[in-house]
Amino acid sequence: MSARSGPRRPAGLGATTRAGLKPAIFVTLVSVLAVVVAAIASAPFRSSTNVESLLFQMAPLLLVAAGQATVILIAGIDLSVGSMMSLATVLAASGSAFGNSAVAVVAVVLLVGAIGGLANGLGVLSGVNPLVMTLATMAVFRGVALLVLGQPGGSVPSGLLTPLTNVYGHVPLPFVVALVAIVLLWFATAETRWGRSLYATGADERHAASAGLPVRRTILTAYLVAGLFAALGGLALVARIYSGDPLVGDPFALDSITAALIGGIAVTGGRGSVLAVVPAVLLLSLTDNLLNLFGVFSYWQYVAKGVILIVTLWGYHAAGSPSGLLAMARSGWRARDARAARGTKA
Amino acid sequence: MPTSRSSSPADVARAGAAPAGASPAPLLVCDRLDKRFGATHAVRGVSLALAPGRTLTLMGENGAGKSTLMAMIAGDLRPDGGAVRIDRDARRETAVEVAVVHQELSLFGNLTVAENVCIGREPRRRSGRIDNRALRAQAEASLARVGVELEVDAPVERLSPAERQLVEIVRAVALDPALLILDEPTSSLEPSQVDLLFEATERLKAGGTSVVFVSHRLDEVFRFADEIAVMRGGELVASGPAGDFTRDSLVNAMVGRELEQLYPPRAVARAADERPLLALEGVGGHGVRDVTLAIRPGEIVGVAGLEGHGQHTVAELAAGVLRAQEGRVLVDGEAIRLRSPRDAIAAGIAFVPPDRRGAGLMLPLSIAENLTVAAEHRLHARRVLRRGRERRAIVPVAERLQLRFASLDQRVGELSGGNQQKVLFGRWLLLPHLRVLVLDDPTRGVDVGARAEIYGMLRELTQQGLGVLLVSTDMLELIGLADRIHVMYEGAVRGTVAGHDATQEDIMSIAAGASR
Ligand SMILES: Nc1ncnc2c1ncn2[C@@H]1O[C@H](COP(=O)(O)OP(=O)(O)OP(=O)(O)O)[C@@H](O)[C@H]1O
Ligand SMILES: [Mg+2]
Repeated sequence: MSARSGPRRPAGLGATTRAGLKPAIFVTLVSVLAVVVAAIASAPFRSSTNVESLLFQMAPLLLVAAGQATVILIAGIDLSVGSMMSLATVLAASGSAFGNSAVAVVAVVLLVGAIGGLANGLGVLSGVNPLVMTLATMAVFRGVALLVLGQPGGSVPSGLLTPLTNVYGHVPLPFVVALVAIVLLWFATAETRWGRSLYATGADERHAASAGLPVRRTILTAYLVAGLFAALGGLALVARIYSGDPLVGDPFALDSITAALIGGIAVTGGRGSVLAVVPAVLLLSLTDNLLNLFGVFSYWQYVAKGVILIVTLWGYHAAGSPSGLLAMARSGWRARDARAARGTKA
Repeated sequence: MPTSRSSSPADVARAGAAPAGASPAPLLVCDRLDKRFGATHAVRGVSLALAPGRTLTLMGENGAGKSTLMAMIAGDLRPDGGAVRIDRDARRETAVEVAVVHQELSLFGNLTVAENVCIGREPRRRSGRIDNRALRAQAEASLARVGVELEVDAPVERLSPAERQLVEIVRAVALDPALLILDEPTSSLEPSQVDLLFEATERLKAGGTSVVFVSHRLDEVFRFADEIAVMRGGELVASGPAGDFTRDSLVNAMVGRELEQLYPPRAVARAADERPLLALEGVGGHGVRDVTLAIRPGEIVGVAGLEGHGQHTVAELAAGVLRAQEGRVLVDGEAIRLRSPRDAIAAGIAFVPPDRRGAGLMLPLSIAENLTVAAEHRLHARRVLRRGRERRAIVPVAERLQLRFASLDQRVGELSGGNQQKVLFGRWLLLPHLRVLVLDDPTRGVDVGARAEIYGMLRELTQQGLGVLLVSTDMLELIGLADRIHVMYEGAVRGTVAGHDATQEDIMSIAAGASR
C-alpha cells in the first residue's frame, strides 16, 4: 500500500514556492517540538479549555499576519492593520445600526477593510512611502474607531457571535476560517500570475514594470488584501472579547510584522512564503500561552518575543538563507554568495 | 564618410533602406526625438529609420545618449519632443512589439531561471494556477533556442554575470519581438557566448525582426551591423550602411578626433629579482587551488579564463574579498592575512569589482561621495567632512577620467553605465598609499576613448611603481596591457604566456584545457 504512495512529488509546486517554504520548516519543527514537550510536561496545557483558548488566540494574528506578509512581499509595510482590526470590532459591536443582521455586519466590516486597504494602496501608488502612508491611516482608522465607539463595549448581534464562538470538537470556527483563508492566499501568492507579479515587484519595481507586469495593480491589491485580512482578523478578535474595543487591535500592527519575519519573509521584499506565518504564529502564541500557564509575569512575554525574533533571524542568517534585516546587512556580499554557489549549471 | 547630421527622417529612411529591389517600409522610425534630464540634454533631435530584418548598431561614447534613446524607443521613457513609430503591420504578427535587453540587467534574483524567462507569460491551467511543468518546458525550449545550457530551477541570484546576461537575452528572444533592442548585451560574455547571441539574432532577422544593438566592442559592431549610427553628445553624428565605415572612421566619428593607439607602449622590462609588491603562494579556496603569482612594481599581471574557471575568485582572494583557505599571501615579502577588503586597503591593495551596481557603487549617493569613500580619512581630518578639500582632490580625478556629469553632487545612479564604471575606478586614485590595483573587468561598458584614457593612466601609474592584477574577459585587453598572462582552467593556473607575444588563440587553447 505504501509502495504506491511513496515520496509523492509536491503536486508540481514551483521552485520558488518550494524555496519560500524552506525557512518555515525550521520554525515548524521548533513549534511542534514545543507543543510536544509542553503536552508531555504540563497537564493544564493538554486540557481542552487551554487548547481551545490557544486556537482562539491564534486566529486573529494568523489572519492579520498573512495580510501583512503579502504587503511585505512587495517590499511594503502596513502599520494600519491593528487599527483596522479595532475598527472592525467596534463596527461589529454596533450591530444595531445594521439591523442586528450578521450578514450586514460582516459585509460592512469587509467593505471597510477593503476601502482602508485601497486607501493605503492608492497612497503608496501616489508616491507616499508605505511606512508614512500606513502610519497616517493607522491614526485615521483609530480615530474613526473611537468615534464609532468611545470605550470598550457595545453589543455584537447574537446571529454573529454564536457562529463566531462555535467550536467543532476543540477547534473554533475563526481558527478554521483563518487556516482556509491563509492556504488560499498562499496559493494565490505562490502559484498564480498575480503572485508572480507580487514577488517580482517586491524584488524590483522598475524591473517588474519594464517586464510588462501590472505593477500598480499588484501594489494596490496587496494592500487591499492586507485591509481585508485585518478586517477578518477583527472579527476573529470579536470571538475572543464578545464586544467592540477601539484600541484592542493596536498590538497587532507590530505583532503581525514580527510573525511575518519569524516566518522567514524578508523585509526587503520578494522572499518567503505566506504559509510560513502559520508556524510563526503558533510559536508566538505558544510562548504567551506557556508563560501564562507557568505563571510568569506577563511583561516577560514581550521580552520572550523579542528574543525569539532575533534568534530566528540569526538562525536564518546562519543557515545561509538571507532574510529580513540581515538580508540588507548582507546585500554587500551578494557577489560572494553568487560566486560560492557558482557551478549551478547542471 | 557618411555624415547625415540632423537629416530629416525621410532622408534617413532612404539611407537605411534595404538593398536593391523593393525597399520595404521601415519598421522603426524615430522622428526628432529629444530628451532632457534637468541640465543634461541627453538626446537632441535624433531621427532614424530601420527596415525589417536589419540590424542597426549604435555607437557612441559613454553618456552619448544611447541608452536614453533605447529607452524612448522601447517606451520606457517618454520623449520630451518627437515621436517613435513602430510599424508592425509591416510583418507577421509577433508576441510583442519591442523586447529589450537592458544594459543594467533587469532580472529578478529571487526567482528562478525558468520563472524569469517566462515572467508575465506563465502558462496556466484552467483554474488560473501556473502550470509549473509547462513553465519549465517553455523555459527549456527558450534556452535551447538560443543554445544556452542552464539549470532552469536555479535562482537567478546564484548565476554569474555572464549567465544572467544570457538569461536576459533568452527572455527577450523568447518574446519573438518585432524589434529587439540589445543595450550592451555582450559586456560580460565570452566569445563563444557572443556567437550564440549572433546566431540568435540572425535567426530572428530571417523572420523579419529588426535589431538595434549597442556595443563598445568594435569587432562585434562590424559583425552584427547592417547599418551603423553614431551618437555624440546626444546628437546623431553619422549613420549609414556598415560597409561605408572603417574602424578608424567609426572611432573618429565617436570621439571626434583621431585615436592614435588604444594600448599605450609597454614599459621597459623590470628586473625579475625585484621584490614583489603582492605575491600569492599556493593560494586556494572557494573553488580555486594552488595559485602562485607575483606582481612586482611596475608590472601588469593578467589573469584570463573562460567564465566559471576561477579567475574572478583569484581577484577576490588577492583583494581580501574572499579569505584564502590555503597558501600564503605576501605583501612586500611579508606574509599577511587578508580577512576583509579593509585589511587589503590598509595594505595598499585596491579592488575594482565587475558588478558595479551590486558590489561597487552606492547608487543613491553623489559622485563626490562615491569617489571619496575610500580616502575619507585622509581628506577629512578629525572626522569632519571638509568640502573644499574634497573638491580640490576630486576635480582632477574626474577630469582625468573624462567623466561626463552635470555636477559632482549628482547621484551616481543617474550617470550612464560607462561613467559609473569610471567613478568606481577613480575612487582608488585618491588613495595615497595605493600599491596594487586589482581590477576585475575594469573596462566593461567603457567606450574606446575613455578606455584609451584608462589604459594610459594604468601605464602611467605602473611607471610610478604601482602593480596591477588585471582579470578580464577581454582577451585583447590582456594582450595589449599585461606583462604576463596566467590562464585559468578548472580553478587552477593551467599555463602562463608572456603578454608581448601572446595571441588570442594561445590563450583560448589553454583556457579550454590544452596543457602547456
Ligand atoms: N535618469 C537620469 N537622470 C539624470 N540624468 C540622466 C538620467 N539618465 C541618463 N542621464 C544622463 O544622460 C546622458 C546620457 O546617458 P545614457 O545612459 O543614455 O548614455 P549612454 O550613451 O548609454 O552611455 P554608456 O555607453 O555609458 O552606457 C548622460 O549624461 C547621463 O548622465
Ligand atoms: Mg548606456
